Amino acid sequence: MDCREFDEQVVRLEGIEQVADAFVRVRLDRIADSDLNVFEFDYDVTMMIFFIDADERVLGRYGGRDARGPDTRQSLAGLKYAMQQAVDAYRQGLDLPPRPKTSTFARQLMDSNGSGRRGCIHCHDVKEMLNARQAKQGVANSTLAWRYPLPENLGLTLEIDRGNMVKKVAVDSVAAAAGLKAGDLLELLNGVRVRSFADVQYALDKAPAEGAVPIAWQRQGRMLKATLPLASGWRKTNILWRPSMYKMIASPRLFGDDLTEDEKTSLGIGGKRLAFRQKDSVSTQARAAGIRAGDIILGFDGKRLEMDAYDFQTYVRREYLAGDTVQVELIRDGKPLTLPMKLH
Amino acid sequence: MLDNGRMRTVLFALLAWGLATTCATDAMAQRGRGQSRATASQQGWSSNYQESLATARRIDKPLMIVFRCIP
Repeated sequence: MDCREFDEQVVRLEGIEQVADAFVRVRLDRIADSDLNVFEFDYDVTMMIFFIDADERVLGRYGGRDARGPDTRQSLAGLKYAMQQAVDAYRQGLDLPPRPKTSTFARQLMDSNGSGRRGCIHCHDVKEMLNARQAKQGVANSTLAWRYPLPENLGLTLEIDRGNMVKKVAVDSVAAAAGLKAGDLLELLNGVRVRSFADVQYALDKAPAEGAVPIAWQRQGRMLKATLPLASGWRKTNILWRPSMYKMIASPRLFGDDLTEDEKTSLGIGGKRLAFRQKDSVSTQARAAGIRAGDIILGFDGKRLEMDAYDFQTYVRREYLAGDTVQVELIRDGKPLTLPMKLH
Repeated sequence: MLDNGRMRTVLFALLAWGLATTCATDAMAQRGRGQSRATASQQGWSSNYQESLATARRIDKPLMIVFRCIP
């Protein structure tokens, strides 16, 4: 699935015909000549909708996704809701952030990268070009990777059909500590007016890696405000679905069979804890770290992992980036050992 | 072992198959784009951004811009 069905429904204006008449409608299947400073979005997605005025000021956005699939955050009802909110904002003449003063076009990016490519530029190509430019400027992989964080990272789950309404607040989350509750209507997040899940992702993308973001919401006609603290690592989100990130996805390159219950018991390891025996064929990455065939791998960085060897592969791909150095914990000849290993 | 004539035929067939597959993939993507453009046009979607900005200003309406990256 690549949200084709949803796209076709939008093209045919299914269920949104009436509100769609309030807009001049544009559908662009090429990004090369669009101004990326105006249309700034998560370029790994295959569909994104903007509501703007004739001065190219953004009234709202619709789209976005997570690792479960391209359609998980979209619905025609949700789109209709975001469209209506945008129309209302336009008619009310609300203050909008001005159009960016400068322009950046994907075509220029490609030319400046010297790729010489002239074909169709996919949205994720834009992301890769922007990443390459930032990497050249010394921006760390961790900054490039954790883009467009999910509201769930702060403990907020939003309604699909009303993208600015809180559906659920996770217990012990920063959102819960700030006083947010199910049914609240988000108004502003990090200075961005919120009308949809895409607005929230955009606002969070602009938030720092560590610090705080202001948030304002409505509850039964009352406006409430708070500040959400952002702890180190809050941006970390599953990137396995992102085409632009393939080169950054790390692999443990450690493979083997899980220990049996009896073997774990004899080594004093809990039943659910990760413990597998490195097989005879040792990867270059592991060999460089000093890992040998037969070593019992227990995990990385002192974390107690309750999973099997298969899930460990996914865990590492989700939690680490290529280039990270981890401390591999293992048992060799019955003795615990920790070895640093650089992930590729 | 294949003789030279048969070898040439096999190589030619492989080359033709490769070329046809590449062209078919491109053509399918193009056709997909063409079809969706035609449907979109019937439903009042424009693909001309600058012209649409001018229209929006003239008739005092906001714009709805759909970016669709067809894989």
